[in-house]
Amino acid sequence: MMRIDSVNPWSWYPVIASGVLGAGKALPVSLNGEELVVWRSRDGVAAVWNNRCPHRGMRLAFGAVADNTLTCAYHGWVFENDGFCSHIPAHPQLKPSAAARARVYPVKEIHGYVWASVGEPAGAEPAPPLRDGRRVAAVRTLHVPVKPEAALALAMARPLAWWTPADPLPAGWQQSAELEMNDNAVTLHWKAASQKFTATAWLPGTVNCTLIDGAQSTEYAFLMQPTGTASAAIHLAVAAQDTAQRKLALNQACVQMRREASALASTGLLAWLQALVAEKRAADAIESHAEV
Amino acid sequence: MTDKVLDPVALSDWYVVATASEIEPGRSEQTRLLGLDVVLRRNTEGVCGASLLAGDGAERPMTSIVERYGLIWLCLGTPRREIIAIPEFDESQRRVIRRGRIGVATSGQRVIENFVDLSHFSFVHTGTLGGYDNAEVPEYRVEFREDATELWATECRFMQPKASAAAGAAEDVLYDYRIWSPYISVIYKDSLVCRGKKDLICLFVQPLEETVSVVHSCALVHDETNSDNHILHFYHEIFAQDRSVLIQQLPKKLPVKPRRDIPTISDATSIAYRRWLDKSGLEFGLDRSLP
Repeated sequence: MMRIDSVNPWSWYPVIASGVLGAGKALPVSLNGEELVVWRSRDGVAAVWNNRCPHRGMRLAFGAVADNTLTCAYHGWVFENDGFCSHIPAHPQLKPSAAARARVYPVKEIHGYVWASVGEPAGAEPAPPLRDGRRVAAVRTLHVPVKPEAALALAMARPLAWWTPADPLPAGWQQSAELEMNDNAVTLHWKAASQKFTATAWLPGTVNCTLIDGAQSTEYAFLMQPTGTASAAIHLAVAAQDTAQRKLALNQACVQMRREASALASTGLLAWLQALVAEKRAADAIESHAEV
Repeated sequence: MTDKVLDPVALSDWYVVATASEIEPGRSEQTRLLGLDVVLRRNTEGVCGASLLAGDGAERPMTSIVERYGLIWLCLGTPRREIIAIPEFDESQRRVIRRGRIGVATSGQRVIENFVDLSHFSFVHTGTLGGYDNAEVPEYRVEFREDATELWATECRFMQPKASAAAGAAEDVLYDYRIWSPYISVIYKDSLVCRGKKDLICLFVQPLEETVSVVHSCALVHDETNSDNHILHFYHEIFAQDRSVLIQQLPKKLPVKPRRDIPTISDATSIAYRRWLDKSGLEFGLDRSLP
């Protein structure tokens, strides 16, 4: 049975949207409490390393990309795409030792994001953000100061466009929640008069959401990146063919969501969801027992 | 009070905690040393005393406080030796430029290791202490002196575009580095004004916490032309560059065990410094975990 309250470090997680990482850029990111540098060579190849030069511990994200190498800002050591140091300016004639290598993590660039794993990833590649495999556009990345599992709960709690405090939730919204679980996913179904909202969380951290409001349907995905034990980033992806207007509206809704995120997460949203899961399990157990 | 503060090696050493002129008669100042609260108080007769501030606000007077070289020196335990001898402070031909105190959010050992490092000049101090085209570090000597209580790196040579505020053209400059304690180091560097004479740059790190430091620094330079401000500006620019690197190093405590980092030939001073720190038994500010 899937547990929404457990984050598996042995998985692919998105660390940055592909479009944000231009050729020649190096940026600091975090994954499961580790500081990483993600950088792209001039040839367009993305790499994810520990953000620490093996020489003196300088953060490599402060380095510079030249052609297909990353140069540390402190002593100018040059690292190739495979993490091995190829040049030490203090000793231009010296062939650097094989020990002079940055810690390299598994990386995959697919579905519009650069994905990494701080362990040996279980699957060959990450699942597409939209389950039907439609091409996605990365709209925005939110950094929220809540536990990664609470970030998932936030994404499932209500439609993205409803995070404005001025708009109260429709009457009976919270009570309408219906839970569905299987080995890979947890789904919440919400209902109001003319609206239906479905949020499905897949391991390790994708939440697919659909809001149907009368004849209008909005679909998006949140890709969760556990940055630390009490922090997460959530990447919002929509179908690439969505209108620019809709992308902009969701982008603005993200800002509102982050504003509310820490307050809402601390009011026990996750605890409520966990209780709901426990209740469902108990109910299922009784049912299966009754069948026997 | 943390366990590390009881570190006997750290407690038995001398630290600079203020510039003497900063504390006027009748005035006091509260500071920190090795994670402890310290009050410095100069009486109306001009004598500066120090006391340790306990959690309940009680003050315990300290006896090992000395004013020397225009600086206030403090030892919180029983001093295991005399304060560093820098006779050049008593000579008249150099100007003493006091660079004040500069905070750095890292361990003092990281600050010292950077201070005695030649190979960062070309990348961190490009255009003054080094340049991309002259990044090669010639071999130098590393030795222990004074019964292995001091670590020296000598015959260090580096091509510097602008070695000091008074320097004109680029020159090959000769350096000696003297590491007197984990937190105190002095550079003896060729004067480009008085040939055959040395300028001194002294770095006295006050470890407030294991990974929070204040750097007190003096330059003793041959320079008849530049104003104090101009010389200070030169040094502050250099130090700002150093600090931009220091705050980005991980971990903040200096790793001392072999293979935690991968050094190269030009890191001979760093290798010796880390080994020397490891052997000293010091805990404060050091990361002693294995690779």
